[in-house]
Order: sequence, then structure tokens, then C-alpha cells
Amino acid sequence: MLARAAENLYWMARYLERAENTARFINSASHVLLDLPPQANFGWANLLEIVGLKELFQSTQADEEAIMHFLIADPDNPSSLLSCVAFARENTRTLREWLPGEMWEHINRLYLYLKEHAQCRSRRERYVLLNHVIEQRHIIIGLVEGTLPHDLPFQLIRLGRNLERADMTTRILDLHAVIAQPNQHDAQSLQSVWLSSLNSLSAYPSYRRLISMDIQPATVVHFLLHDLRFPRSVAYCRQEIAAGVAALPRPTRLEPALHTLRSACPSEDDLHVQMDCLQTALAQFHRALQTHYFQPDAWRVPLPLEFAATPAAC
Amino acid sequence: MELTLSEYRRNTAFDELLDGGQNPRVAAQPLFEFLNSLGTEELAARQQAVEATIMAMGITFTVYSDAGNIDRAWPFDPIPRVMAASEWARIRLGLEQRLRALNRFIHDVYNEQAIVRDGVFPAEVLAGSGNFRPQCVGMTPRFGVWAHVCGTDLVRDSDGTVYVLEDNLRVPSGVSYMLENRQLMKRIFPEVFRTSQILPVDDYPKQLYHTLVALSPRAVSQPVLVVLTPGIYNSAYFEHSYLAQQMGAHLVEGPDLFVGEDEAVYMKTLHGPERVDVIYRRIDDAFLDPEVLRPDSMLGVPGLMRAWRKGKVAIANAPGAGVADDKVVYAYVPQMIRYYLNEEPILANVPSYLCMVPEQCEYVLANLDKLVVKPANESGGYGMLIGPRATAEERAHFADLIRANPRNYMAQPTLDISTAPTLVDGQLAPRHLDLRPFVLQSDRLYTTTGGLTRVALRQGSLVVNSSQGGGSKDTWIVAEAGGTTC
Repeated sequence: MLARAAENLYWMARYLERAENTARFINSASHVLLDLPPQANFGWANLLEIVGLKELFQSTQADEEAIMHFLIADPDNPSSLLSCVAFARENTRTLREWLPGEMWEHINRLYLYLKEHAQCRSRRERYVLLNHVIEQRHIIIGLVEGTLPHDLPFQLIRLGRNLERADMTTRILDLHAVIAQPNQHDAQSLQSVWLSSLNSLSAYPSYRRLISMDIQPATVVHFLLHDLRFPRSVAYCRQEIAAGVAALPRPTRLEPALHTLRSACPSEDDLHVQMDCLQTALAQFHRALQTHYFQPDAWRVPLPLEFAATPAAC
Repeated sequence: MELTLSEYRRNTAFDELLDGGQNPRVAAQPLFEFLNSLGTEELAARQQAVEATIMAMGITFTVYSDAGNIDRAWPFDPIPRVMAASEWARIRLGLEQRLRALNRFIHDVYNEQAIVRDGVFPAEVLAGSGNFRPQCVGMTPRFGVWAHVCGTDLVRDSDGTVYVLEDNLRVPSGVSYMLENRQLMKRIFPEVFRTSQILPVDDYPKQLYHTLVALSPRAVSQPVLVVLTPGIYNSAYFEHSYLAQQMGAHLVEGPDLFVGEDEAVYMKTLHGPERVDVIYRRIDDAFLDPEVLRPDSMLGVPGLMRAWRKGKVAIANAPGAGVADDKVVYAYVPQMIRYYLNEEPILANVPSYLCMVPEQCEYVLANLDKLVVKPANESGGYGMLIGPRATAEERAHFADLIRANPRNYMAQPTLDISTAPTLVDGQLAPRHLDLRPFVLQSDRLYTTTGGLTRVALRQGSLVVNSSQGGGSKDTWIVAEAGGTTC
């Protein structure tokens, strides 16, 4: 497979995952913000910090409408829902030979839908739009899981999807760690903050069944970071990433980056530091992929010293 | 409401679907019965469904503009163009005969030049050809075939004669639209495929694949085939991506390839360099290799011509094949058919006057108001004079151009090209059209069943190019009951 096509495929998967995650994230943030008492020192503007887009946001008004427009419909925001789907569509166009026949049509339809409907006029319309994005993404995942052979393209999609997913889980945890400063909330609203973190990852039913009816900050964090049974936990994504890497040619090239990812969050740190550190490790892993696989002359890049001596796996 | 033909005002042109008395031709009768059973409202609803489906399927072509590149939906008319299989069978033979002769000609021109030596083809035409590539002299591509994919434009004059308008031997496009048009018709009008015996067209990608891999220099069971595209900003990118997908080929751009020290071509893959056997190039040959062709080309691959000359890689169409894609060379195709094949041409050329021949040039200059004048090496309808519609000044300007460079011009009478009923504001109206079948040659010959019908959507217009307001129709080759198939 062409290195350029591989990179496009990986990015296609990342953008689609990011679109779905953004939709989930906005939905759940809206829910929790509606529940917070008016004096809470957390508002719509904090969402921008969480997704790392504060610098890019230019509007002088930082109200709900402006921020939602920025996150959903702004073509100048490369991570807006509309941009993500537009990029995924552009990538898909260059890759049709690697994908199931209907894939292009579904992504194209989603793009056309967003182009027409992204300017939501009300919370209700917004809710409908975001759910539509999530549903369409499920159809696309269904196509990949149901019809794509498990060779390289599948593995690249797997890598992109899980890298992006782990990143979003860390951001959601980060968001809720910020909101849930214990001194600012009574026990009841603290509960609802952590419930929302589970909800924004569609994790509450699983948490309830696998862990407990009770929502304790420490158990929620542990569940979303370490529970291998839940497909949006960081540990699960990391496991998927490792499996994807193993299916790449000469996978030892990524061993150092995988190692960093595995050892990235010593649990004694405070949650915010921990999440930062995980996000950095994910970014490093992405750069390693770029260097060792995607750039056109990647095969000429020397292996990291301590691994160069190891015979290649294939 | 029943769909009527009463509003259908035919001009003097031949109509593809209706005879002189405004009755459906035999092959089109089931179609009209079906259209009448639908009624105008249902037909309008289906037309809307067609447009929505075109958008969803992303069947687009790209238009360059200052505001960025815009994807335009492919304009499609739901009323098909219908042709009887018996008529098509003859046309198909004519197309294949033509391509066989053209390939013999290209090969001859780069090797013996016997046709020049024997006085059948003038040396000065060759000398003046902008598409003759000296880098190709002495080459023998596999099977002696240079043009593997040819798109031939056909038109029908008012007396019903089908003429060849031109042979596109460089990078002809449009075949993906032919295939998608049929998909659209099947989605939107599934019923009609039960009433008519419409021959399928979807064999093309497989035929193209076999045509191309037959050229592989390595005897391997699965030669590596790539489609070389200029990239997403090319107006035909949709087609490049479509064909790559349909053939299971890699869609590559110039920078994805390189020529190794062994002078073979490699692509840059996740596994490292992988040898490429066959390149289906969709860029003009002038851009193929900055080492020996246009040095400013960012689209090509340095050293590609070396690799090709050494026989390390096959390129389709071969570099240099465009030498026969020249409007003056075109005029000699009937002679080529007689000379190389010892056969009589099955399909007629449009009568042509070559300005390089003094008597013919005099005729052209004296009759500019009746003729279409074309420059030899342009494609896409550029630089033409349509005499009857031109001003006196424009004609005078062209007369000067012709006198200054007679080799570069030829002229043809203006044809009254045929029409077919086309849906305009819910009613049927006659619109002019042409037909571009695609012909393949390597170790085999293959012709698409029908081809791409392009239609001028503006009333009275003869311009069928999609960039200039043209649309397209599905093309049905219909087997007669108990009759011939092709």
C-alpha cells in the first residue's frame, strides 16, 4: 500500500472518530452545563480549552451560540465537525480503491447533510444534528467491521480510530476534573458532573453493569483509564493500537513510541497532569508513525539505536 | 398527466429516437411506452431523485475558478439514447478497424516510416506535428500497440450517416460517467430494464484491467498496475479514482513513484519500494518525465522515459501516441486503413479540407462562412472557427492565421448533428448530441457497448462539453427480439 494512501486512510479514520467524539462531547457538555448552578465558575468558554482550540477562537463573544458555531460549523476551525467530515471526505476521495464500495457514498452524504444543516438555530436542532452525526458514523463503522478484510487498510483505520479515541477520553476526563473541583459543588452536582463524563463516552450503562450504581470520582476515572472491557477506555484503545502496530510491516520501528504510551501515566499524579502526559505520549506516537511509515522515504529512516540490532519481524 | 410529444418540435436534424413522422423508432418503442405509463409528475419526481442520487454518489467534475475549485454535479438527462444492436455491431467493427490502423500508423511513424516512403502520408505533416516525440523513435511497445485506450467521437448527420469526428488518443476521459449513468438509471428506473433487452456496459473495468496487465514486462501472476493522476485538482479526478477502485489498482501521483538504480519504476509503499509493472497514465505525455520532456513538470517521474525505453515498465497510452491525435493526421485515417489493413473503411470521416494542400486551402478561404476551421493540435474545442456563426472580422482574422501556418489548419462542413428527446422543464425537447465509445487494444480488442452520450442542454447549442453546459445520457444498445446481439 502506498505510504501516502496509508496516511490518508489513517487520517480519514481520525477525522471520522473526531467528528463523532466532538458530537458526543458537545452533547454531554450541554447537558452538564444546563445542570450546573449559575454561580459555577465553568462555562462554554472552558470547552474550548478542553479541546485545545482556545487560541484559534477569534470571536469577541464567547457565548453559547458563537462557541457552538465554532465547534460545529466553522470552516476555519480545522477541528469543527464540518471540517472533520470535509477532511474525511477529501481523504476518502483519494482512497476509494481501498474501501468498501458504499463507504464513499456514506461519507459524502454525511458531508452534504452537515453542509446544509450545520448552522443550528436552536439547542433542539443542534441535538438532532449531533445525533445524526453519531448515527452515520455507526453506519460507517459497521461497513468497516462488516465488510473490510483485516489487512493493512483495516489496521490503519484501527490505529487512527483508537489514537483519536484515546485522546478524546483523556480530554473528557480532563474537562470533568476541572469542573469537579470538590470545593465548588455539593455531593449531588458532583455526581452529575461525573455521570456526564460517563455519558459523553456512552459509558454509563457499562459502568453501571460492570462496576457499580454508585458514581465515585476515583472509580469513574479508573474505569475510563484502565478497564480493558470498555472500548473507549484508554487501556482498551492502547491495546488496539498495539494490535494494529503488530500488523504493520517491521513493527519494531514503533516499539519505543508504544513503550512511552504504555508507561505514560504514573497514577499518583494529579489527574490533569496525568492527562497531559497521556496526550503528549499519543502525539509522540503519531509522530513516530509519520516518521517511520507515512513520509515517502520512511523506509530509509534509520531505526532507533536500541532496536536497530533486533532482526525485523518480517 | 400523460407525457406527450406534441410539444416536441424537431428541427431539421436526424432524431435518434423518433422517425420522420414523430413516431418512436422500433428500438425505442418500449422506452416510450414506459415513459407514458409514468406520466409527467412521476417523471419529474424521478428526475429529482436522479439529481439527489448524483449528489450522494458524488458524481462530479471539477471546474477551475478564481473562487477555488468547485465540484459540480454531473448534469444528467434521464431520457436515454437508444440504438439498435444491429446498427451498433457495424459501428463497433468500424471503431476497432480504425484503432488497429491508427496503432499501425503510430508504430510505423516511430520506426520505418513506410507510409511516408510510399507516398501515402506527406512528410511535412509529420514534420509539423506538435505531438511527435523524438524520444520515442525506434521503440516497439508490447504487441506493437501504442494507443491502448481510445475515445472516438461520433456524430450523425441529417441523412443518418454516422461520422467519426475525432480520435482521442492521449488521455480520453468520460468512461466512468458512462458506467455511473447506467448505475443511476438502474436505481431510478429499474422497471424499464425488464421491458427492453438493454445490453450491459459494466464489463469495461475488467476489460481495461486485462488490456493493461497484458502489457506487463514481468511475467508475474498479478502485475502491479497503477493509475497515474495529476491529483485531486484535475477535472477528471473523479474518473481516475473511480477506475482505480474498479480495477483494484493503486491511484498514484508522480511523487509516489521513482525510478531505481536498476531503471525499474517503484512506488513508495508502507513496506518500502514496490516494483510497478504497468502505468495507466492520465497525465499528458509532455509531463511524464521532467528529465527529457517538460522540465517544469511536477506531475511526472524523473527517469520514467528511460525506464520505459528499457522495457522495465509499460505505459498506457504509450508516450508519443498523441502523434495520431491531430486533426490533419485524422484526415488520412481512411488512407491508413487501406494502406495498413488492406480494408475499406467501415466508418466515414467528416469530409475534410487540409489547408496545407493549396487547392483545398483556396476552397477553405473562399468558403469560410460555411465551414468549421480547426487547429491541428488542440483538443477540447479550443481555437476553432465556426464559420456560419462568426463575424466578418473573425473570419478575416482566421484567414490570416491560415495563410501564416497552413499546416496547422483543416476545415470541415458544418454538420447538422442529430438530436434526441431531452427532458426540459418537464417536457421533451430535441437537443443535439454525440457519442464517445471507448476502444481498447493490447493483445485483444474491446469496445464499450455504446459509450458516453453527451448532449448540449442549451437549445440549439452544438457544444456537448461538460465544462460548457453539456450533459449526458445513458446509452442503450438494445437487442432486437430474436435478432443480433453484439
